[in-house]
Amino acid sequence: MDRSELVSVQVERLDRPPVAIVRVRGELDFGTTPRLVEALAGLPEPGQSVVFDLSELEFCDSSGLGALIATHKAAAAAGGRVHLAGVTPIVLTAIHVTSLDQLFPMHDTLEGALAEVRRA
Amino acid sequence: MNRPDLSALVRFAAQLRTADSQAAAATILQRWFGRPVSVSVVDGVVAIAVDADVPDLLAAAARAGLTGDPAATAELLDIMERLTIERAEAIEHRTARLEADGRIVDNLHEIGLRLTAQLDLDSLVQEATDTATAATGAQFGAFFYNLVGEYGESYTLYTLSGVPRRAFEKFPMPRNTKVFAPTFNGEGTVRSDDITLDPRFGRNEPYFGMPAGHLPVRSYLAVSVISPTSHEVLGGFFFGHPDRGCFTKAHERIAEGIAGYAAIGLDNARLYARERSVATDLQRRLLPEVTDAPGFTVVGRYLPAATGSEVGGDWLDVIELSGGRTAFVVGDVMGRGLPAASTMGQIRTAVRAYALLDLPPGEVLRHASQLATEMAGRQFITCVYAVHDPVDATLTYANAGHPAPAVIAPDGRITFLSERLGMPLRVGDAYEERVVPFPAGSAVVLYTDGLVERRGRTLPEGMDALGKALRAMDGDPAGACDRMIADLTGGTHDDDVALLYARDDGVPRKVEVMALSSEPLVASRGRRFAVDTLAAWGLSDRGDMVAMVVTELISNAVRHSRSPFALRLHYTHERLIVEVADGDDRQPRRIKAEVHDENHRGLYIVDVLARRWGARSTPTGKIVWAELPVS
Repeated sequence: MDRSELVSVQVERLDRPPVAIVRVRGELDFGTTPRLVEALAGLPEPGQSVVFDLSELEFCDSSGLGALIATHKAAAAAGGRVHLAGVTPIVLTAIHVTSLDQLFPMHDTLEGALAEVRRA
Repeated sequence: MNRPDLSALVRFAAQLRTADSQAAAATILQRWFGRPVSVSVVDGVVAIAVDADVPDLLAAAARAGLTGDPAATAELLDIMERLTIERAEAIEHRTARLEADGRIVDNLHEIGLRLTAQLDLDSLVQEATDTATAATGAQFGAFFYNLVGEYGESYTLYTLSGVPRRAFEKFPMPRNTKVFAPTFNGEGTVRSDDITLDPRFGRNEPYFGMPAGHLPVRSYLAVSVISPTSHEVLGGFFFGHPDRGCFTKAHERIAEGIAGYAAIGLDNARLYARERSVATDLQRRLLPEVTDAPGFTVVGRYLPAATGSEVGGDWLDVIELSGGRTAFVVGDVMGRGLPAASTMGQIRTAVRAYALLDLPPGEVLRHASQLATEMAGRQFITCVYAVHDPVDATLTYANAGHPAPAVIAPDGRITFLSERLGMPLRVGDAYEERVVPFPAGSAVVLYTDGLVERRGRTLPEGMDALGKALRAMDGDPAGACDRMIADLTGGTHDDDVALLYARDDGVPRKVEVMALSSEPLVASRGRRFAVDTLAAWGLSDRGDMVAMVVTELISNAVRHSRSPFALRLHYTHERLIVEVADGDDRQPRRIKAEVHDENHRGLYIVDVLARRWGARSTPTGKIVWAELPVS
């Protein structure tokens, strides 16, 4: 078992509106989060928002949450926002107990998140 | 004033034929004699009686003197003889009465010494009643006294003397009737030759006198008992006799004397009881209820010394530690009274605090010893601190100069852990630990020296006796412990006795252990192991929560110690415990993450999800643990 089996990250960029869609599949913990951090390098670009599609993320620990927060800070600095879409129950629990639901707008689906980004 | 010439006087009186003239003569003579005088005519002769007791003496003397008649002279001699005998008897009688009075004074003194030294209320009032009843010659006596109970309520008790209790038990307590009121109000002694003739008698409902079946009372004497310090009426003595006129002024004085002593005695007893209750109360507050530990049958007994007033400094404790472990503590602050009790309270709390920091036994005692040197007092303090770990079924203990704990193996074999491991607290500065096997079904017995030390028995003999008693223990442990204490102390103990018995009931525990390394995917493996284990235990619904906690604990161990050893899952008595052992003895700290903070959320997540969590040192590093809610 190696990291690639535990987590996979895909990044897709849309121009209108400027948004990066980051699909994280598998499990995020201190062993696998570096993989996400690598994939997030250079994101977001100025004015770009980030939508994390977490519908296939089965686990997220404090280091995974840390990566999401880092992205939020970078996006805020770049004039964009970070949205979370399709958060699974276990990840939602982690977000709730750490009160990060105050930080991230959350959407049931990726489409919902993108619609919100377009409206903004 | 000169004595008048008797014959001139008689001649003078002889002329006094009428009662009026005799009375006038008597008035004149009374002035001469300075005492009552009666003048009368006896056998045609005027008799002047100076002493009312002996009117015939002077008459006889007058006749003999006037007539010189031998018969009159013989009569005079007879009278004088009889008078002499009577006087002698009177003197004897008076001497006897003085002696009796002297005895009463002696008795009163002795009664006073006894009563005022008596601190046991029941004996005090009974003795006072018996003594007063005997001394007043009453047929029966009663002492009604008021007490104030634990909750400030006032109640009245009584003792009787000279009559069985059943003679009165069908009657209600005497109320403040007109007859009783002066006594209960402290208005002074009531003495009556016949109380039934007293205007106050028979005035009150419902009986209008004595209730039917009451012992007949004519002579009545009642004395208030008034506190010399607070001046409140503590009670009253009542004496009765079926005959009239039995109680004299002297009886009254005796009764008042005894009442005075009884008042001092009652006052003392009440002050003493208050003092003692403050001390015992303090100790009771300092001594926590010995609580049950999950998986254990625990019996805790603390018996204050049967003799002596002051409480001691024994204590017992059962402390639930992390990871399903339990600490058992017994200690003894030498000495008695409030200083011992308050030192005990401080040390007990300190030991408890060190226990909750999860320090190992030797460290708990070392810290407690160090702390004790900074506390007031110089008493020796002995203590045993033993920790049961259900996972490896061991008992790890350290001993600061305390009598050896006993371990009862499941097969009944008794082992005294008598190796000397350390000096009393305040004296020692290092405490070795020992580990003994403690398989399910074993029991540990901790006690203080009061259980084994006793006058007329050496300590080894006491330990032998304890060993025998432990082997003989059977049936319900609580009852068996009570019987054992009674047997070993012979029912009386001149020191405090504390006993803690804890038996591992052998309730099945579920434990799974996984070895950890510091490779990056170790958290993921740990998570899967935890989820699978919980599924096997029928706790799948806790899987997410355990996965999160396990991940954070392993992350921390890898990040901060680089040497995680083991993940241990432990489920017993509705407690689910996750432990991660590592090779670093630095304790974790929870840092409150700000909402934008990228780090420091790990232990925060554990803190939110766990019912409680913490860390404890181990010989090789530490264990960070979290207890998770199951239901």
